[in-house]
Amino acid sequence: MSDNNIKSEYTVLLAGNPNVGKSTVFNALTGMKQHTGNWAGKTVSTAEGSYKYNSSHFRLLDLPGTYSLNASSPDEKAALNAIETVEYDCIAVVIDATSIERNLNLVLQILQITNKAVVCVNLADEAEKQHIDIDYDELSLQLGVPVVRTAARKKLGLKQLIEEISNVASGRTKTYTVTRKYDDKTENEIKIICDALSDIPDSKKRQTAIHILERKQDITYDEKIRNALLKVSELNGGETSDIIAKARVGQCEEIYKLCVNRKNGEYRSRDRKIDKVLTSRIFGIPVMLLLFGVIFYITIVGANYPSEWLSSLFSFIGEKLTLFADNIGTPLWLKNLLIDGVYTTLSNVVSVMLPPMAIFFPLFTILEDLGYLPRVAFNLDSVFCRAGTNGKQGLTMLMGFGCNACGVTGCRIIDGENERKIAVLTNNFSPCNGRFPTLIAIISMFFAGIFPIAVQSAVSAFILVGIILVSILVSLLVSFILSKTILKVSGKSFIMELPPYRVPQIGKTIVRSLLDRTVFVLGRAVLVAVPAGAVIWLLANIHAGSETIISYITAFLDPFAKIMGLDGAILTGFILGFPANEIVLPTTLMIYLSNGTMTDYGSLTQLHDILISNGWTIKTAVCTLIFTLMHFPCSTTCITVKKETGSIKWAILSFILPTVCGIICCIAANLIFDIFL
Amino acid sequence: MQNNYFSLSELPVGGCGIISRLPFDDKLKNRLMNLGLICGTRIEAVCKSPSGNPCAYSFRGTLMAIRKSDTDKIIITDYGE
Repeated sequence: MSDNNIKSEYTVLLAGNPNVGKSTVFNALTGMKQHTGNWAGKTVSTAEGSYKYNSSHFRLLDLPGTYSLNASSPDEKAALNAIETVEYDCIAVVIDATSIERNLNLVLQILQITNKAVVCVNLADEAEKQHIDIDYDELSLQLGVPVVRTAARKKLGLKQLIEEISNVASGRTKTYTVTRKYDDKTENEIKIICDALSDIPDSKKRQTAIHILERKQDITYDEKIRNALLKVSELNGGETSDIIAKARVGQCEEIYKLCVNRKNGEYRSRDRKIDKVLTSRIFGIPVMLLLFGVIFYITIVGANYPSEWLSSLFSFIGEKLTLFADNIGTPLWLKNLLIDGVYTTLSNVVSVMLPPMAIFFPLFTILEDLGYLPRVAFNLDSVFCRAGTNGKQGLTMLMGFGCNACGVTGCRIIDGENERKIAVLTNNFSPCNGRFPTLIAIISMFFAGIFPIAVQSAVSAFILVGIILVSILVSLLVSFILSKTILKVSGKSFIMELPPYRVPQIGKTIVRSLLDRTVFVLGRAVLVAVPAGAVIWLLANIHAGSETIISYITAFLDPFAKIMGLDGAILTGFILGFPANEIVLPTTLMIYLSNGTMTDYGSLTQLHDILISNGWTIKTAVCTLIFTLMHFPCSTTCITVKKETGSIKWAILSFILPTVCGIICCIAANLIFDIFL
Repeated sequence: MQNNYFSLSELPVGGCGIISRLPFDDKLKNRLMNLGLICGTRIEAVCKSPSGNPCAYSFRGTLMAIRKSDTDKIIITDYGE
């Protein structure tokens, strides 16, 4: 035992296919609450966490879930890049016990690079349910590295996993590379490349040669290797990469046959039955619409109550704060700036945004855990295929109805570079929870109000559904145009895994998702709403001459706003609402009432009266609806777009695109009203 | 006994086949191979999406949705039975 060699810190990479519970393993090991998904490609940027074991510190890096290391998708590139550049002590490869054969492909590719690895056979409980017998010792023997059986969701086998990782990382467990022979022809070609590799240690030559033969991109070869490659491709018409890939599938099959015994041939019969219904021609779409209809209904109706509680809580605290400020003798301007400006905006953003987010996203996540979302993408794919993209965009669009920033982040699940950008750019066409209250208020005041009270809420719901459909159509249309112009999508290839259905961890999901969203909304409120509140208050209260700055802005914008069927106050509201959409209407009201603080309307009738007395007509209502649906995304979303696309250019385009659409549609609507009505 | 060759997209739901030729398109071929789809792999058409495209196929213990434009390019032989 060479315990002296124990380092104080080890770096461990966590690799694996998508949907194998990698993030669950990561969470279980580190205790960090990283969101887990029954979905391909959850972790795109490497998440990091750490844990302690035997007085050593283990740094754990979660790589994106990939099927291979071929660097053909951003995920694969990121994973390969991490494996090549990070100085790690051990790679833990998580594989799905219920589909070991496919998972072995990645394991073998990783073992080709290093043998400092531990294979974690996760979802072992699922496999046992399906009567899949796994010979772990044989598997370990075949792979040359320790194999651990785990069921991370039930916290089984994690101790052994931690122990084996520690043993491999510290070198206490000796792992070895199992040399797998290819057929003679390929072996000969590997040798040709090996001979050309001069400055690489002998022990690494073979794996490097295999890598080069697989035509790993992003590598500039020296002349010797290029000549060797030329020689190889002369030997066979450029088919080398296939041979290696094919041979590896064969190796997986071989190992699988040695180590796994499926007693029950008819596996997943339960899933098949579910899929027969959920993706069927008759029930597929109706069930989907019903499910999401219910989710939206619960979100919109259910959010009202906590919204009211929060807002009365905030106004109670506001009163106390005012008292407190008076008592300690705060100057009046400072008190007003902090309470009427900053605090009011903050409470507005939190009470409008938090409840629907905290209801919508946990429900969404439960569907995700269940494995239903990939089926939604499956059902919707043909529609999106016609718009030049794929079904996964349907999901990011749905997430956008919750929050556009979250929807934009969700676009990571989309594989193609251009398809992903299209989804990012069009996400804002889905009205988010911050915009729903405005939409609903306008609909019920100006449209549903005409109908008898008994049917008003039904009419409102009906119009809202219509608006959602319009937003989806616009989104598809813009996607289509983008996919034919600046973001050309080449080919129609689309392959997506439909993972097994799993029983969701409802309690855990709700708690975690609730915490995530609360942190998100509060963080955004502090970072965005606080400064915005201060600025808006200053604009509304600093007088230049006889008028406030905000009234100058309003007057300046008024002529242009009128062309769009709006007025200066509404447009100013939208512009000042850039930090957060939920303050658009309150800001507009503030300008109408010129009372210098953001105003929360008492009742819809009251609001209706204020709007009417400020010259609102049906036309104003329609144009405001249109502009609410189509205008620049909120600042958080813009920042997220920049983060996700890595370029300011796309963030600017994501700003301009919906704004231009909105302006054109508003002007058109205004003209139609003027001419025909 | 003669084998019939046809494209994967022609395989009816519930039917099985053996992959006999992968697409020529290198990128697509590589993707399929990394999922374990090579010549000789047994594949089953499990269910179609409501519009009929894409279709879900089961092979090597996984269920994958593949579009018709891709399955058109994959040639299979029938399963013998």
